[in-house]
Amino acid sequence: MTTIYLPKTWIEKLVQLPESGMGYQRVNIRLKHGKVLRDVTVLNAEEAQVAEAFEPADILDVELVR
Amino acid sequence: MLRVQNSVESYLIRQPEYRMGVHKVIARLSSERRVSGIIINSSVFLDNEEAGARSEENWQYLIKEAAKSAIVVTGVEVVPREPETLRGIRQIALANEKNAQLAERTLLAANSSFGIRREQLLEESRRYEFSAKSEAAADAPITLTSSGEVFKRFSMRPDDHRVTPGKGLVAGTFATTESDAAAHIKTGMDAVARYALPNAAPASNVFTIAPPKDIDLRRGTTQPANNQPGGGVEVIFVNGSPDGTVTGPVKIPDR
Repeated sequence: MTTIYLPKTWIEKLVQLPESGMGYQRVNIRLKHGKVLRDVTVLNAEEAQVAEAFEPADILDVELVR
Repeated sequence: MLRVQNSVESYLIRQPEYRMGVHKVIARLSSERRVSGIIINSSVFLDNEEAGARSEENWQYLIKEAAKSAIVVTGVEVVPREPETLRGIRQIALANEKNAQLAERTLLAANSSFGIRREQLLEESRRYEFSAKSEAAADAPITLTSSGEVFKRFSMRPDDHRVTPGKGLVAGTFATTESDAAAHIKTGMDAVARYALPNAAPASNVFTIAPPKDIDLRRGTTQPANNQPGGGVEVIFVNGSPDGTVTGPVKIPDR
């Protein structure tokens, strides 16, 4: 598992969304080239735990898994 | 009699009714007041006094009267009906009883087994026991904090982004009760297990939250997840906690 540190924009967005549990959220991360990383755990609205690394600048959107 | 804002109406349509066509609520008004009462057909609010006297009046009359007020309902907390008065409670009770029986049965089988099989049966028994007792906070109804209640939040980092610069909590933040933390958490890894956290790092930074009374809160039990057993008391600050209510963090041992 690789940790990707999210840019400030996405931290600010995630902080405004509810947690999935104490200190973490489950999100889908949409990348600019179209790939969607599903059910990613993000710790402290900042540390995304992903199977394969990607460039944080390539994030198009982050949305909470309901 | 008051009108209900469209967004509240849309929300209520998805919420369970108290009785046919009626939601029991604590309403937030555009005048900033909070008032208890009922909402009929998701669109007209009557306070408790009006509800007793007027809820049977002609629907068109209620609509017309509500339209006269400049004050509207801008938000609601739905008051759930007492489970004992719901027909479905018997099914829930039976499901819990079934899980409790299965837990006991599996435990008996475990006690007469050995090695890996015994471990598997013990684990299965714990799962049944858990199902018989619990509900996650996310599925629980909204309650209010009492005066003097204190909560704890365990974080892997001291710079917890859910704590605001003014020392409050943002909406949708999880925590636990002070009593659950005091009874079960001595280390950061204890917190990872009891609150089923996904982080490999210990949650050794402890924040204390002392909210005022009547803060919206969901209360439940942490479900097993992230290869952790859970079982702790979990609460969600639905709309956060005001500035000046959070202190810490205090560091506890990692292991």
